[in-house]
Amino acid sequence: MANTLVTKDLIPQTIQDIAQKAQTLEGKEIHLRAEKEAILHLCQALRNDSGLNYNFLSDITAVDYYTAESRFELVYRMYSIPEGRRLWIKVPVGIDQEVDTVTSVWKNADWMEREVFDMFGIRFSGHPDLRRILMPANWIGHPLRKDHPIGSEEVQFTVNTGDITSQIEFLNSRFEGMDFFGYVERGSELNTLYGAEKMKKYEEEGKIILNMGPQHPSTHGVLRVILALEGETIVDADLDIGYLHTGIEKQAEQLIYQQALTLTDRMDYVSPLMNNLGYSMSVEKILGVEVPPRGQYLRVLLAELTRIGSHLVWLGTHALEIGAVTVFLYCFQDRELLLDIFELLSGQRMMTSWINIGGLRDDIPEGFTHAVKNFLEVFPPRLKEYHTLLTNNPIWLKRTKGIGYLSLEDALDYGVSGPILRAAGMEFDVRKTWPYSAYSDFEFDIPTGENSDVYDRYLVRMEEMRQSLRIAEQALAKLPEGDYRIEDYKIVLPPRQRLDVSMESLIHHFLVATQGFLPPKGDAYVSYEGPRGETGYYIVSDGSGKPYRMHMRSPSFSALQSMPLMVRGHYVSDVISVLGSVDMIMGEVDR
Amino acid sequence: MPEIVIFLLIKLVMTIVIFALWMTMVPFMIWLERKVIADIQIRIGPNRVGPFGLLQPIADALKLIMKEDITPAKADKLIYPIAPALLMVPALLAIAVIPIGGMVTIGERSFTLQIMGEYRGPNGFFVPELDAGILLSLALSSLGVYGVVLAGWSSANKYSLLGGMRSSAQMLSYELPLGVALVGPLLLASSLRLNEVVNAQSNFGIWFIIPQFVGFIIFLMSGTAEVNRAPFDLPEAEQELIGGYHTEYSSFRFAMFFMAEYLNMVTISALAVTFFLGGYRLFTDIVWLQPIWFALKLMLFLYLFVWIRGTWPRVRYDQLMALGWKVSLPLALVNLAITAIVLAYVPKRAVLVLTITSIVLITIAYYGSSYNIRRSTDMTARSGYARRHLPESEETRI
Amino acid sequence: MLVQYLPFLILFIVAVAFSGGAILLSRLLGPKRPNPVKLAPYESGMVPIGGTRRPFHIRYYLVAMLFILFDIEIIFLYPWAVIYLTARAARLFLLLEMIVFLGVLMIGYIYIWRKGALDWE
Repeated sequence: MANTLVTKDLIPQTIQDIAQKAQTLEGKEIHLRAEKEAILHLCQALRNDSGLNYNFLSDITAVDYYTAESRFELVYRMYSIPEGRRLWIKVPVGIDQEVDTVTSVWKNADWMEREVFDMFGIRFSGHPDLRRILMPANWIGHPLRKDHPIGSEEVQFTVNTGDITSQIEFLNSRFEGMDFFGYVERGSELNTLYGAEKMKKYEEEGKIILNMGPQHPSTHGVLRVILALEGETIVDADLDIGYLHTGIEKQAEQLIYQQALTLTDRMDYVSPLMNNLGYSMSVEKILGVEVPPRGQYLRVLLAELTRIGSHLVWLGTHALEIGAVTVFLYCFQDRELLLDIFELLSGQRMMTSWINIGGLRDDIPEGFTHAVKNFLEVFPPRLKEYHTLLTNNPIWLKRTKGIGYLSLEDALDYGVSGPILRAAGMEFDVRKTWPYSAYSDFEFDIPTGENSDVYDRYLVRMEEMRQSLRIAEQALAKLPEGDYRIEDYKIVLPPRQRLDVSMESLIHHFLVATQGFLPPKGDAYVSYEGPRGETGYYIVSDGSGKPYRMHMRSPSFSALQSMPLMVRGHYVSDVISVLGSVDMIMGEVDR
Repeated sequence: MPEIVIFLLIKLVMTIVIFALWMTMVPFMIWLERKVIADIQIRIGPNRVGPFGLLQPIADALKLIMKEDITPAKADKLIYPIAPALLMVPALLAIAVIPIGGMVTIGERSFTLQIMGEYRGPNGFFVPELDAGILLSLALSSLGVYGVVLAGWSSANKYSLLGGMRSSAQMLSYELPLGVALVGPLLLASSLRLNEVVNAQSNFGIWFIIPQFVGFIIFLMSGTAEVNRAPFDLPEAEQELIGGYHTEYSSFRFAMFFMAEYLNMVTISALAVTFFLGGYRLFTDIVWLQPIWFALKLMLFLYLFVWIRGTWPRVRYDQLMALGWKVSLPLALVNLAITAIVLAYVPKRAVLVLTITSIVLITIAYYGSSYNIRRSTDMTARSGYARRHLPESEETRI
Repeated sequence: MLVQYLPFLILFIVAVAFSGGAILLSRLLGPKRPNPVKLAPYESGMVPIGGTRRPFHIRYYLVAMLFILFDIEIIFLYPWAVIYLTARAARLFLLLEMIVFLGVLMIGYIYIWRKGALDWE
């Protein structure tokens, strides 16, 4: 089935096919290829056909197969949760072709299609608001195309006002006489649309338009929220992202696999080790290698410690924004313990890159278990203290209960995952649904809420920290002996001490360090449960030492889209509570 | 020399001394706040400038004076520059009626340690204490609203505007319970003169905090809201409105907003001390110790302000207004009615009866409000996993 | 007695002198290097959409009105409170009077509450 192209006529038959397999093991993972004309109807059938119920759009992305006949390939990935069936649809698209939008099927397709348009220039007909999302509005070209010239635009500061090199000037100076404007002309008329345009109509109605961000203390980095206010009540909100866009996906294409790993640290910079884990798992899937148990357990341990660290940052900033300054400092003190552990491990506090393709970079050092045990002992009373400070505090209750309600249907519609979805009552956790690493060996519960408000999200995350502690304790207790990584020196570096004695090791070392390994052609996506929800790396290999395409499915990217829905009708102060409960990290939203 | 000149000279010296004391309270208060908050948050706090970082606020003030004073292009050129002064001057004037000590006698002249206090000279020269007393203080604290509103409006900035509007409504709303809460002690003291309120407390033999506990709580709450302190610091909620009404201000004008806030905080605390904690009196009547007693009691309140700020989150605007109009105001009126009835029927045992009724009233209010919070927030509550697994020993801190 | 207020005048002069002096001092000591970006209104780093000189929400006006109403009523409580204990003979009359006064106030208060004027929505 994976190889036949689903056309419009074939849809009923395909649906029937999938429905038959739905209960079998084969139905858990289905790969389809579809014609671009068929995609909208296919998606509608997949979602709304009651038996199939693919209710969760995980991601839409694209790959530029530069030399192929139809140049681009769109990749749709959707899940049926809580059953945990996954489905991939790949759609070949030519350079001048338009694709039907699926925003009518899943609402979070909005930003995803905008991102694909922004990065690849693929147009979606019928999209309500097709404009650039990550790149600046005056950007020329679509950066993730393989023929996009790599260059830079100078950043404007006060010191260099007036003598900024524009993108065009830079390109002209670097690629003299090259005609790269031919392909970028299209789409330029869309560049003039700014995020605020949508808000103009409210301005005319006499509402106050207020910019919250990008330079605002409560937007967790640089998010721009444009609010239309009636008094202090929010009539509508619009989001503008891309201020923290660093082009990591493009950069990764220029680096060998091991080097690209270090970039993943910088995506969700509050939980770097988890990013390493996700990336490594995807690459390992392409390579077809299996990490030994000790490595798996250590990965779980590190991932859970990272989750606690990330949740501590969330709790601290969330409380700080609602005005409880002290909680912020308490949280960061506790997080300091975790960062000390990571420093002990790697010498680095945040960007450790310690989880590596094939296992870990090195085995745990002496004193590591002691440090972790110490943390596991110290932290539970601290967690209790946070509960004492906040959970029953009347002001906290008043500020969080009933605020930012998101119904389960809307949450699924917007592809919201992680604690927000669980707070809406859906028991969906990648660690249970599609166990990765060694998670099936551990005992832990998935906390869920029922009111789907800011308070429930708070409770869910607080409980998750406790569950993470449980997992970490088990991982430490059951930590098996043996290898911490695969001992395949075509993939991982040989041990340092062998370089002096073995010529073969030296050659391996040289090859791995310079050209990396050469995985087979193919693509892979392994999702993991990040602190913010279902995260994962989609990696396409063309057989060379560098990833042909690397794309991160960012949970906040989806969740953030539901934010205007959550704040409508509330007050300005509630925007802060809601943003805190979404817990987005702009590094992974903008990438 | 005519007596009036001596009177004015003595008052001038007293004014300058009290003014200086108040002005030193501001940097001290800033230092105290930073140190105490740091301690609550397990940090060190300022410790570089001077011993224990004591000179840090001075260094900050100097730094702010040296900064550029920016007037935004769109700002109102007349109102924008004077708005901070409109806040600062009333805040400074409000200290005029507060007694920091009792009657001092030097030779044949005696006077109270109070700028607008009593003065007796030779040959029957007599200036009584201002009879409007507390009214003057309340009136001046209302005037501060102008500074805030005009600062917010004239900045031509939306955050400032929202902050200014929030602030005006907030300060107005809490003016009412603040005023009513003081009527209880006034009933007992039978005078608007603050010195006599202090004396009445020593005559009764008990601080008014005991029989007027409800009034005290309301006064404290309204006072906190009146001076825009946490958890009622919404006009300048930096996580929401950047800097609120002083977003655009810089240099010393910015510092003036801060100084005014702290001055108001000191003044409100001073009023609380005078009305509820027996003012400058404690144990003995040695006159020169009285300012020290006063300062110590003042510290107690200032510490309380900082403590609250270090512990609690911020309330939301509509909740703040509801608290002022729907809880504090009726509660204050009920307290007033009870006080009046008790004084009419059992004037001999008034203190005892009032103490008991206070306790009853505050208990009802406490359980009423926590019931109300539970009802209004638990309406849709059903038990989810996370809720069921709350740690068992957590307690409500109100 | 006007002489009572002379100390207040002294304090006023001191306060104004302090405020004015401090501002003047910062004018003299501070640098002056304006540029268009610096003088633009701050709105999270973006160019503001629409001005600020626009009608306020009616809510704020209502609060101000209610404040004036109640504040005037409350001012009447002060002189009453001062003579209450000293006027022994008329105390019950005073009590009755104030209860009637507060009763009328309460009727208005309940009325505006029921009308929803105290709700911020």
